[in-house]
Amino acid sequence: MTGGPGEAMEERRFLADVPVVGEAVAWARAEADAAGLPDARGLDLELAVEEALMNVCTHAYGGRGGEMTVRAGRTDEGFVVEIADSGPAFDPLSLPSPDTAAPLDERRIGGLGVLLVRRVTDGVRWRREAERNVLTLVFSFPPPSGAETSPAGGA
Amino acid sequence: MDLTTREESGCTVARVAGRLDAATAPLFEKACGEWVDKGTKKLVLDLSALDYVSSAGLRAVLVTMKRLKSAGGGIAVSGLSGVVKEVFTISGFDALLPTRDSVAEAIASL
Repeated sequence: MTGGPGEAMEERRFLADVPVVGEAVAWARAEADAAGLPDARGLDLELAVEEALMNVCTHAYGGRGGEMTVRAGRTDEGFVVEIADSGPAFDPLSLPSPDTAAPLDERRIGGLGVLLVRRVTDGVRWRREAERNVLTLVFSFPPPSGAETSPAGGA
Repeated sequence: MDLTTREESGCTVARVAGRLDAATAPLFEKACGEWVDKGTKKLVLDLSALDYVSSAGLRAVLVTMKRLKSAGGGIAVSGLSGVVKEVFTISGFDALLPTRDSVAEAIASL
């Protein structure tokens, strides 16, 4: 923990391949645990990271293969995970939300991953930087005891 | 993921424990396909010991639901809790299939 908040982030590079996703998710969870993210948010973090990485594995490189970089650590915002790929510019947050009230025959899984990411994080944003797509997932630490706000909704 | 099945009241009851994620969902989907091939029409998923599900797991459930519907059957789930319940709610899957507290109630719903 030296330097500014951004420098507290650790980075790992993985092959953008579905069988590797579990390992990358487990690494991000371990970093979150080490940073003191409450256990109750751990599975939300795993879910958001898995969905984001699966999108990279299945879409970013059009079957040609590539790399995904995962950075994780505590910042002023909370516990932050950044997922980067070098595929063509694509903002997953620009996709329309899937119709979660559609009847069975019209149901598709496409888009559900991004919806889950939006709902289990406290913030998500995309940027294009140095020829890379960077998706940032934010998990707030609970407010100091005595505060009333509860973004998780207590579900 | 641990998968155990039994037959009860004309239903295949599958207890899915552990994690239904990108790594295990294809195995789960394959097992579901085999039950359908063997004649299962009504499938009850006991998810009371499931710790985690992602959209990869939902995909397997959706594919199986569509196959069972064409066969004149369906899926019901029991024992949703924690992040698994959260995922079923966010995705609207709790409106696609009966969700019940117990296996007995899930069986009765089919």
